[in-house]
Amino acid sequence: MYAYIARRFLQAIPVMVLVATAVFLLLRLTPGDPTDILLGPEATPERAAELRRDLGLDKPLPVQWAVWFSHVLRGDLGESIFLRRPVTQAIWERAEPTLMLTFLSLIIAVMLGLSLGIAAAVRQGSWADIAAMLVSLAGISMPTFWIGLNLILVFAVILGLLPVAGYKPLSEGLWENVRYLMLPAVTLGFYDAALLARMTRSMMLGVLKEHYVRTARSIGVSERRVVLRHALRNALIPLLTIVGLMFAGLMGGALVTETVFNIPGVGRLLIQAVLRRDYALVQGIVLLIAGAYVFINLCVDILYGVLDPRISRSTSPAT
Amino acid sequence: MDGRDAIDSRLRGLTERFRSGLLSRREFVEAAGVFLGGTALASLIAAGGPLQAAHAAAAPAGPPKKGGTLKVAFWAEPGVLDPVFTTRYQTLDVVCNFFEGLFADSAKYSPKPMLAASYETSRDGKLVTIGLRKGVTFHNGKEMTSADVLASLKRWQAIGANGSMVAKRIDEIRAKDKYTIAVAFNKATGLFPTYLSLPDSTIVPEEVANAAGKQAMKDLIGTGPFKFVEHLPDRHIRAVRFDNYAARTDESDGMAGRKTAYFDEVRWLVANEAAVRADGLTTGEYDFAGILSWSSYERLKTDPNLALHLTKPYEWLAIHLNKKQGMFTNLKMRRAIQKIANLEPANRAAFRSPEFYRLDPGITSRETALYSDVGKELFNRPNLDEAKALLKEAGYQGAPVVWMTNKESQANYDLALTFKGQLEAAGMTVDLQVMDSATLRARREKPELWNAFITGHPAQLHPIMHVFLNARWPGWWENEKKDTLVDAILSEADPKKAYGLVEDLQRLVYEDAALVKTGEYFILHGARKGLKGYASMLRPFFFNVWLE
Amino acid sequence: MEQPTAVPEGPTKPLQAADAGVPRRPWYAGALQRWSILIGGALLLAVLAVTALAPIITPFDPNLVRPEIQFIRPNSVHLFGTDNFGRDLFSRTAYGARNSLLIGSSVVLMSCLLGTIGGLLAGFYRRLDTVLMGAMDSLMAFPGIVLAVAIMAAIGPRLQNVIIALGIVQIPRVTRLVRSVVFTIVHTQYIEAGRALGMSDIRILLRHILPNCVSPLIVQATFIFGLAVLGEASLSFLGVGAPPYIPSWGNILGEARVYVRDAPYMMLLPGLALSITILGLNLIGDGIRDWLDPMSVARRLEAHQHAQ
Repeated sequence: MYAYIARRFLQAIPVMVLVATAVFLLLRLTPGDPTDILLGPEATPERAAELRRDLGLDKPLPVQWAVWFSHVLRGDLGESIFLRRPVTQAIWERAEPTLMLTFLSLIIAVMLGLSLGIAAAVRQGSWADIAAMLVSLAGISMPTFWIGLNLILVFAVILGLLPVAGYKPLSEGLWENVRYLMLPAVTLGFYDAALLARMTRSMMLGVLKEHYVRTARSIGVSERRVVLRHALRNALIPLLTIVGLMFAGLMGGALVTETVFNIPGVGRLLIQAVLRRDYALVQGIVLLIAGAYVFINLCVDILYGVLDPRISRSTSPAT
Repeated sequence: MDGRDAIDSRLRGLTERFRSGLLSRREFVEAAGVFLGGTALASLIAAGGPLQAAHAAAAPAGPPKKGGTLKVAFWAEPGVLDPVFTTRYQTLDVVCNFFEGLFADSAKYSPKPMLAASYETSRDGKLVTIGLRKGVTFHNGKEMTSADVLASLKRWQAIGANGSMVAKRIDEIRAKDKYTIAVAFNKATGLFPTYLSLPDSTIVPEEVANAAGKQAMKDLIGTGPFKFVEHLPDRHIRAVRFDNYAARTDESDGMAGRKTAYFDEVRWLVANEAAVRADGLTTGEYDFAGILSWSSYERLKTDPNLALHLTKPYEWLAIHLNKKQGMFTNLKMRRAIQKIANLEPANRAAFRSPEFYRLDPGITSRETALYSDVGKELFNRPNLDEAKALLKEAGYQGAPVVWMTNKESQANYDLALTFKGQLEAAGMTVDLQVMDSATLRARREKPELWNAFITGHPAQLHPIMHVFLNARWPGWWENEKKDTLVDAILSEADPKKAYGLVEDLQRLVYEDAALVKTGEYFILHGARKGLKGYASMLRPFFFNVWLE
Repeated sequence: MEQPTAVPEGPTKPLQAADAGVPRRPWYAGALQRWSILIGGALLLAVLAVTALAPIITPFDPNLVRPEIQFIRPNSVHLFGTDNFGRDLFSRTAYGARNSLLIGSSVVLMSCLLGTIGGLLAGFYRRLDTVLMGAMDSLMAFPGIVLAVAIMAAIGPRLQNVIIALGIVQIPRVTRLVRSVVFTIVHTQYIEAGRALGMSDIRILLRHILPNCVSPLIVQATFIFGLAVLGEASLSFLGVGAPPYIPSWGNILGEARVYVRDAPYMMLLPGLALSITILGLNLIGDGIRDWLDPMSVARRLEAHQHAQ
């Protein structure tokens, strides 16, 4: 068991190095660099060339990579050229919106998806079931940003109930914070809610047909207890791992949602940094996101292995 | 021009200036009354529209009220706040409240003394003596002396966008005494005060300038009426009134003269979406919302709580042609583009309503003293037949015009797309390449990669400061006559002669088809009705402004 | 010692799921699956018809800029209205369908081709497996859209680059899928027998293992198609996708976003067209998957891991 964990952990390291290098290369191969954006439209070409030299951007690529990588190993992600502050600080300042958004979306996805899936499974074959499944099918067919735009149109523009876009930090009150995050969270969570509904339904169906459920029913256990205590518990394990994977996925999905709703989170910072060619910042963010992703996947894999001994024993995971 | 034309154009000029707040109502009426009888004048004013009405309503303001916090919805994260280091408009728009230079822009965009007390030129023009005002304090409490000015100007010559250009003409700057500096030129530079009114010649304390060197300043310490407090990127920038501000005693005139900070605090809140800014303005969350979308104008002008301000002048856009390599090295090809470009529909597509753009040939705007319409026979006279003839003469075979544009500036893209259609209607092929601005800036340095791109230029700028006059700037306009003219203008001290030379330069721009001006556009700011004193100049400054 | 007179040929019939002991569902239980496939198929055919007939049914040039007819609401002449350039939105949506479907199918082809080769090799050769899966894990370490944005920023906004970027994002999923199929069969006695009889690796891979990958691949393909179309839409929406003057659903929606308050129809109708297409694809995918392999919850997991 521990060997399995250790092995996976070690496998993650070369992956991270590869990721770091790939990001670095991609960025440097992109035409354009931070100097022009930094100096503005009226700057002279001579000054731009001078700044490029000062920032070390004219040195050969391997040298630049080595410098950056040696800093990373020491835990120093460098400084954002545009924002004039350490990369870690820039990310930290924007962590709250992204984390709040992700958590809220996850809560909505789980609550909506689970309840829809269970209700559909329990009433299998009925109109309610078909309706629920159609809704979730629709949910995975619509682009995130389109859902967002429609929600803005209905709830913010026409009904005027919620703000169009923007973000209020927690320091200004939880209620305001949630109010501004409501539409974005529903937008982001919609896809996963639909997905979860479908998964929950099929898993519950599978479980509900099992012998022990029939036994429980025949000895007179109430339907509610059957569903909640016996069926759900068994379906929960694989569902939990899905939720873990979703959390990782939501961080990526936050990118588009933050852009649509103008939330100053890490996702939008990444897009802005790419547009400004703020090298250190892009590299730092991608490294952190990849790291979080790998970490969560690792945890999910370990959880899966712990809960299902068959998997960890096999030499090659089937999924 | 016959007598009626003359009256028309003078009247138009007067109306423009009234609308942009340069003339008060009384001045306008008096001046216009010379030309017209009463009823014609009344109908002219009535035809002004809500933007006009905003100014008319703004006239009877009560006495200025001191205090309060001004909340400004700002459209982008400025990033670096050092105006010597960067020329980004977002930065200059904020820091114009904190910093001052030896000279400052009047309402007509001509330089007036600010930190300078006196300015004397020697007979041959090669020695300039500038007396500094006494008792001017920096935000850190220190008094401004010639040492600070010296250090600031030294840095200005090294890294300033305009400073580095004029540095070639300067032999030496030295401090004569605590409140006097002397500038020795190798060539007379009559235009020097204009250079000293630009943001990159800002005066900061000696130790700040020396510590910064070629990097951006860490501390923002100036002499202006507002003092910088804090900057949280993507959130806000805060400034408070500087109580020890040494105000001038002469009358306020644009960014020059007496400046009073009525607000206790000014807060710039970053809101990237125009819709968010407009909404916040409507709900009162913001007192001032910068750069609203032109399409929201119709909706917002009906709101009785808002006043909309048009920033006139702002920028003019031009198609820049690659004169170093490729098809546009041929003058006839460039003239063909002049004959193809039909500006009215293009500007309509980009800016929605004629309120927001203006078509005239000037390389500087009508609101400045150097405006001229020389070259108008080559401006916006589209003629498809002539264009096709020129293309044929030039031997155009159908090679694609590589046109770079970017989506970050909606206007740039909208214009490019319309022109693509027009060029194609004339039988040309266009390869429209869309990229982000960082890529575009990088690619335009390479003459083998493009034929045309559109970009904007500050409309109030003195003509010889335009970047495209530098032969090393993409477009690569190499022309001896241009160089001679620029040098002559720089040296000329007599404004009348200088104006004549500027007209010659403008004529050259059109005859050599160095670029094709597509028109001038204005941006829309919005404010709560109670905001008084807003001058609607290029930089949105908040001194001499109060909230009722 | 007698030699066998004839060397029996290796197994001639490709391995079936039934041989591995997985029970097949009876044919009559596939009613719902049939409905899914039928409805999905119908929707897709409708979209394809519009795409194919685009030049005939759209009277307006999708790229013609006519500022004088900006912002016309949907009416009998302009079914979807006009946009800020005066371009007819119905024409743009129809032509946009072409580009989106082109991108979708190209991405499917690219990822399935490369992913299958990778998966077959990884599943069969242990040493290649470590290397390949390491690479796949690196790719999967990014949320899909982040990777796509980074690639597009590096290689530039062109249609073929969108296909490359989205294809790269989808390769790991296909590789993992094929690899897992290979794993379930490679150790069976069936294959060992084949190897003992001297069948070449390539023969085993192509004739016996590959056919078993086909059905899960088809299911996966429908989902990848949908993800690719959605991916292109997201990339174009963010501004790093197809060049803006080429009508693509993502571009149309991206441009509509600015005007959502003043002209909401610009994003409603084209977005609906997009959603209906993806819905059709998902229905077909669901139907095929349920028909072929209803028991595999694990496969469902694979199929649904989305790259948002």
